[in-house]
Amino acid sequence: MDGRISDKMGAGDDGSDGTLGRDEGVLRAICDVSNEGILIHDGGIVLSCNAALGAMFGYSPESLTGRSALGLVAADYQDFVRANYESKLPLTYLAWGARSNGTRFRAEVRARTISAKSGDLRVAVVRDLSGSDAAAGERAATISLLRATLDSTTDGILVVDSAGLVTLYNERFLKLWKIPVGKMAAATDMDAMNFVAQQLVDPASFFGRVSALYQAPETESMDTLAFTNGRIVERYSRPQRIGDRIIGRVWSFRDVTAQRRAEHTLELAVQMRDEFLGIASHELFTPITSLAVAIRGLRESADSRAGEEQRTRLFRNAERQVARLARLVQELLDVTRIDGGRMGLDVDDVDLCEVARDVLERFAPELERDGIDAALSADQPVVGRWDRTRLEQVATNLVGNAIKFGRGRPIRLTVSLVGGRGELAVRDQGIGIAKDQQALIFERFQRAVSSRHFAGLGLGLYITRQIIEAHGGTLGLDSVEGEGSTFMVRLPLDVPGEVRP
Amino acid sequence: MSEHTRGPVMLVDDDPDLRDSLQLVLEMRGYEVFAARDGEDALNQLAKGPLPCVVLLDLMMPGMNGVEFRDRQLGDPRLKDLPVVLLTGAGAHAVEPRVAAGTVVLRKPFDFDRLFDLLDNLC
Repeated sequence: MDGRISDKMGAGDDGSDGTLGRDEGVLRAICDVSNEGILIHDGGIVLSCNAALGAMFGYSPESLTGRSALGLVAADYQDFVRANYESKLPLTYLAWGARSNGTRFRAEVRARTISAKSGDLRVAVVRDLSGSDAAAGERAATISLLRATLDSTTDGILVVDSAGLVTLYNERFLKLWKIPVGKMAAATDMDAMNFVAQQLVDPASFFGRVSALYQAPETESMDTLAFTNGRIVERYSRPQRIGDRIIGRVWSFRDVTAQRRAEHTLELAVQMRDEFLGIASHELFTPITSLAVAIRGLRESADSRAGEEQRTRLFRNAERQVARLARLVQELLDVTRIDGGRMGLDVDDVDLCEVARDVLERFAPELERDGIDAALSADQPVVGRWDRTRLEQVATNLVGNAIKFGRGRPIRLTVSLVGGRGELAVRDQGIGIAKDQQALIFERFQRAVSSRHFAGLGLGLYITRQIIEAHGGTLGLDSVEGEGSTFMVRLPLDVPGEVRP
Repeated sequence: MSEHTRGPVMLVDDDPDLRDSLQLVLEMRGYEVFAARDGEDALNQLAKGPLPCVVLLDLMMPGMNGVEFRDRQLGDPRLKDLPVVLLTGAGAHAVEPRVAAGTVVLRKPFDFDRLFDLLDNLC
């Protein structure tokens, strides 16, 4: 500290005030180690200050001596501070300090009057509050973070206080409930709820649950809301607390429509798969049972008086079951191939009439046995660049269906060349297909009639359509329930992308 | 061809190959067999002809299935006491008690010895 203080204070070497004189060294030491700025002035003229004060304002302590203390005060606060100089009372006030570099800072000043020989002096202890401003800045940052989080979350959020007044909400909340922005100004929770309830399938239950929550402010709850427009929203609600005290309630709303739909689709897929596995195992068991019976018959025929005719029938039956099993497994493989996009075509010159004729011939024993009249009408060869094996599969599926669903009535196949395209029509007079089922039957695992009544995997028409589409063709259906069905295959003569040699 | 000294047995199944093979096996064992393609066919044959000593009945069939056949059979005083063996791919647990009551359930593919034992006892 500066030596002049002691002169002014009269606590000099003469020891006239012995107590103060002895303590002065201690006081100086205290001033020097203090983090707070300490300044002694007489009517505003600086007598002395400590190093902390100098540092706070950006001066060396010595350079301040003899200058006006008001030079350390921001211009707009100088009048206020000057008025305090006149006071003898202990005062604490806030003011803006002015640093030597022209910047200002918030300062807390505690002033006391002390008596010295030459009269009263004023001591001011100054604390720099700009550190506390940092805390305020931090608070502002936290609030902005909260705000940004609220605005970027996909949940709609509403916060209400204990009285039910709206404290906070985000944009998503307004969008979710289609609330006009103006509607929320100074709104209560009941205003908001009345507005939104009309969008719900069951507003009464919503109100019931909400009012139950108000009876029990500490409760956390979850609910699923169904909107009249088909959307599904999950509602969460929990109390807002400061310490143990509940000061309001936070409501959050999450649109889970897409998620629920995906879950539902998945459930259906699993259900369909299980159903299919059930059908598939039954379908595999049927030929296995027939095969087992035929083999048993062959075994017994060896030691019975059975004739050659019986043995031949049993062998044929056994062979047919093996073919049936192979066909079922082939269907499963085909579906796997189609789903993996791996159905390649082995294209050659193929006559569609020949394909139809061959397939019909292969069904001859079955048609004869069931007494079904089936015929092919074709005027001329219809030759295209197609995969013969795959087209045989198409014809086999369609004729097989016509027999299966044809109620034993006549079946007609027609092959023709129409508008540069090969056409194969398979017509039966059977049970037909209901209008609402017609689009479904070309899908995987679908069948218009219950699987309990008709054999098959339900894959045939799906595979058939995929084969035809791979050829660039179309599969059409014309059917009246109870009167019969006509399946119409239309194929361009060239597979798209294939170059004729 | 052996003489049919036993039976008759009625076989109701929609699968023509199974029907044919099982008919042959039973005939080789000396049974006379009435084969029917569904419940309706079976009821028609039963109405016109002599009663068999047992009905081997498939449950899943197009047209009139085994369940409907059983309902009709139980409602007909002439037919209701006919012994019935249910042939099912699903197993006894999948058959409604109402349908299974008073019958023997054989799961496909069959245990032939069990089937032959049953026929020995019934015919």
